[in-house]
Amino acid sequence: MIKKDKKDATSKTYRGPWAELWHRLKKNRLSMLSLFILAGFMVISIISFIAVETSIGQKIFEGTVFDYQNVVGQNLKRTLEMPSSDHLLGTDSFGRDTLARLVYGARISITIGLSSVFTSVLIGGSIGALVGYVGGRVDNIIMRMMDVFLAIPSILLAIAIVSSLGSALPFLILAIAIPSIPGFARITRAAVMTIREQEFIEAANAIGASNIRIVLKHIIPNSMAPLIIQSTLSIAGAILSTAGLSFIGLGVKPPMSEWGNMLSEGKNFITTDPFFSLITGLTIVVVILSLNILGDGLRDALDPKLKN
Amino acid sequence: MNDTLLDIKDLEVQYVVDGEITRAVNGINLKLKKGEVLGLVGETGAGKTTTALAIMGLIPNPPGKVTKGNINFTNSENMKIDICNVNNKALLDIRGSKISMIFQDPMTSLNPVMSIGDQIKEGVEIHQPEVNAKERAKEMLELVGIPKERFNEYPHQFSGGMKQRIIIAIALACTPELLIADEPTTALDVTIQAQVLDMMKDLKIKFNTAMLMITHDLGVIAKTCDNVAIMYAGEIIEYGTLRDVYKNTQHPYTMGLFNSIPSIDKVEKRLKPIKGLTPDATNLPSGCKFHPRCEFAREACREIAPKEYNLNETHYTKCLKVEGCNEYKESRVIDDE
Amino acid sequence: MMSNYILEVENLKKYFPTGKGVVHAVDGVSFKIEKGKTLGVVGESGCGKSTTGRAVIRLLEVTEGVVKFEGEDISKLSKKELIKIRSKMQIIFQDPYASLNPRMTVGAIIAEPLIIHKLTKNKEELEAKVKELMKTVGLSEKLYRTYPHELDGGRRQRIGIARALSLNPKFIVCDEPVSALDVSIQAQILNLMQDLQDKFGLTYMFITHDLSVVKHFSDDILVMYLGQEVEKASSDNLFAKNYHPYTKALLSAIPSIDIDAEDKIIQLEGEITSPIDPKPGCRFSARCSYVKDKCKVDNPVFEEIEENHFVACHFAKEINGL
Repeated sequence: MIKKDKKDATSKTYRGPWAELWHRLKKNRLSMLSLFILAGFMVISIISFIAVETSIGQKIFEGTVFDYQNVVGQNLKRTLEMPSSDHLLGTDSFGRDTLARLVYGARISITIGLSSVFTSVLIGGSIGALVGYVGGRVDNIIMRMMDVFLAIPSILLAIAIVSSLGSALPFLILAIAIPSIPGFARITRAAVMTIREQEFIEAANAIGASNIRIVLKHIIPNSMAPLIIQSTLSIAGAILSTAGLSFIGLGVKPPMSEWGNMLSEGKNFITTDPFFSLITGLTIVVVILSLNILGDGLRDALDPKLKN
Repeated sequence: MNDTLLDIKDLEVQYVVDGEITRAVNGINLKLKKGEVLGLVGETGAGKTTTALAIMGLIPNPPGKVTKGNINFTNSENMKIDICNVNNKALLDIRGSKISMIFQDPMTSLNPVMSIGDQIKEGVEIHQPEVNAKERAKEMLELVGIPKERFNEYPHQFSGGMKQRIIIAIALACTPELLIADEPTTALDVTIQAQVLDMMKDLKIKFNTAMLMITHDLGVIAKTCDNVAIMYAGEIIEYGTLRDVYKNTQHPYTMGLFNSIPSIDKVEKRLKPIKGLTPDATNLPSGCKFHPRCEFAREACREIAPKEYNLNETHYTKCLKVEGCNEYKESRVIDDE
Repeated sequence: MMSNYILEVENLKKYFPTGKGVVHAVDGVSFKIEKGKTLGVVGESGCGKSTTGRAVIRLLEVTEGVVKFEGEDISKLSKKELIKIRSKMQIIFQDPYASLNPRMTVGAIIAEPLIIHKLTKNKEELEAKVKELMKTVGLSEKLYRTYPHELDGGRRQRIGIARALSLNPKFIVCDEPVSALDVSIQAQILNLMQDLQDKFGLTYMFITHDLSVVKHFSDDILVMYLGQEVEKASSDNLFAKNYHPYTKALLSAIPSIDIDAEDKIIQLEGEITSPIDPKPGCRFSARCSYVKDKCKVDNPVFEEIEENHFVACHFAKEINGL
């Protein structure tokens, strides 16, 4: 028999909880593919931001798909073309480059998706953590208020907010964030209530830790898992809601491009020139599917029961 | 006439997780006669439960696999099968009817939305359609000391000790020839444990069921078993009758176990624990798997894997020192560090 | 003048209101623990031993009664005052898996009490102190940056002990500290705890259901049943002479490893009665074979039957022929 070194806890390579999560996620090929696709969209959005909003960027990316002129510049002689070397994904009914419009739309969708989910996680998570830890009457009152919110269909709530406040970007984000706050509050509350009963919380009490310390150091880090999963899935929902609002004309207004208003434009000629609608729809499908697959992958990776 | 019920030969079970091989069971040989009670003792990770699951043909695959050996089961009708090499259908016929298993946790082993009567009935209906299942179930309830009027009640209406009785009733309802009890009383309080063990003893005599009692509690073994097998790192390192193992302890690990238990009868200032930790089954030590923790270990123990050495007809152990082989005598004591 | 007792508990009660009624988890328990000694508390699940352990260091608010720590009643201290005194009283938990925060490294877990109570001046001193504590409990320094889930139960329990020791406590409640561990590891931890007691002059309240462990470990033993005291005596004395029918049954039920020992188990009939709104009378009466009418009506008094030996049974003398 070959003699191996005594392998012991001291010689094993150790990973922190986050490194461990990454290690497990890496083994899921589909999730990694999704992550890769999403990272691609992120990079494109960032470049688009630089190319449109900064003067150096405007110079560097002049004439490329990132150029804002290509997003809004009409050319009525070349409408609804099929892909060519000039326009890789063809043009729309105003002769604008479809690729350029999708790229700009990606930036809008991802900005709204990320910031609305960030907002609702922050607000919903804090509310949930607070009521979960404090419990009692505070819990009861706040959660019933949340239930009222939950009773209103989220898209209706979003429409109501946008139509009263206007469709500027911050309001759009708010309109999409507010309906998902109760969901996050519920999830966090449930996680916190489970963690609160664990013995290590009692142990923290025994060594004299303050309530704030217990929440910040012990409860929140241990209740992140369901929040992370829910956030990933919510980004998908937020992107769909943005597209939905734009589709019915309440979100991003033309000539600025957004996936939803592009679809809305495409529906007018879907029977004659379906390619434009198809390519727009496909983009949305790819992003949403990637987010959902990644969310599922994270759920598996974070579940200790599936460890082996 | 052959009265061997179960004959395990050179059984090896491995689990493969992330390309890492966990060697849970490493070549064990065990024989169990009809009506015999065998105690299987070991600490966490010694491979006790894996052995039990292998006998039930329940090793989850993947990640687990029986890599070597066979488990021959001969029932009273002299039907002989090798559990490691039969199809699923044959296993289903045996499971629950010829071999039953009781699990450790009475709280989670019962289906919470089924009445206890129906749960006892279930196995009988599947395996013995000719029997009146309801009558049998009521009979079983009475046998384990629960009034048959409670037939239609649900698990949450019973206490922990009662639940374990119900589980035993389910396991014995088809009058199996072998009952595997995996830590049946670990989750129970001592006074309740005493009741349950007593009842199991009575039932064993009544049905002449052979029993494989898996536990880490040497006291429970002493109360219930005829023979004892001590497991360490997937091997049986000492086997014998209760008297052999308890009164003529040979293997240093077995001795260590006895020394680790505080005695009720004697006064001792300090316990003498076994040093070190139980080995990692993904990376077992070479030679004798106990040598890193053994106070008698010598160089030879690191090189040579000891074989079964018979002290008498019923008692064997795996230890070079007991064997008194020349390699051991001539080699030096291991210097640590 | 300070008394010789580090902990004095008088008529401690802890009730939990539930939907079905009030659970009398601890119902009028009184005892004292001498400095440097170990009081073992035994009983079956639901007897209130863990609740008592948590109440005496006020991890749980007490419903009624007085808990004096070094002569000071801690049951009415404000949270601030409590935190100060809490550093002198610590607890070691049963489950070495649930009692450590899985997202903190071993070093961080042991350092936390030191940080909270600002016991070290800087990072270097903190790390040195943590490593010293790790050495004291027999943990390799190399484990400083590992996470608890990567270690076995024994080493995890050592982390819990190091955390409890970090504040230089005088009194430690040990709530089933070894019952989740393997026998060979259990002996290691028990020896460690004994060494620490000698080294730091600790006082232990040792809660367990394992009678052989408690006998080995304790100076005095208190037997509890359904939230009440049943019998109390010195460790040797209790095993040699016991007067309460429950104690007798409990001790007889321990499976001995001596295969030649005579089997003399006193089987108890029935199951433990509910601790929710218990009826008056002796709580053991439903399972007691000596039960008489009086037992179902009157609460027995916990009284001294002989020197330093207390029993709560109406008929303790009759049963034992005294």
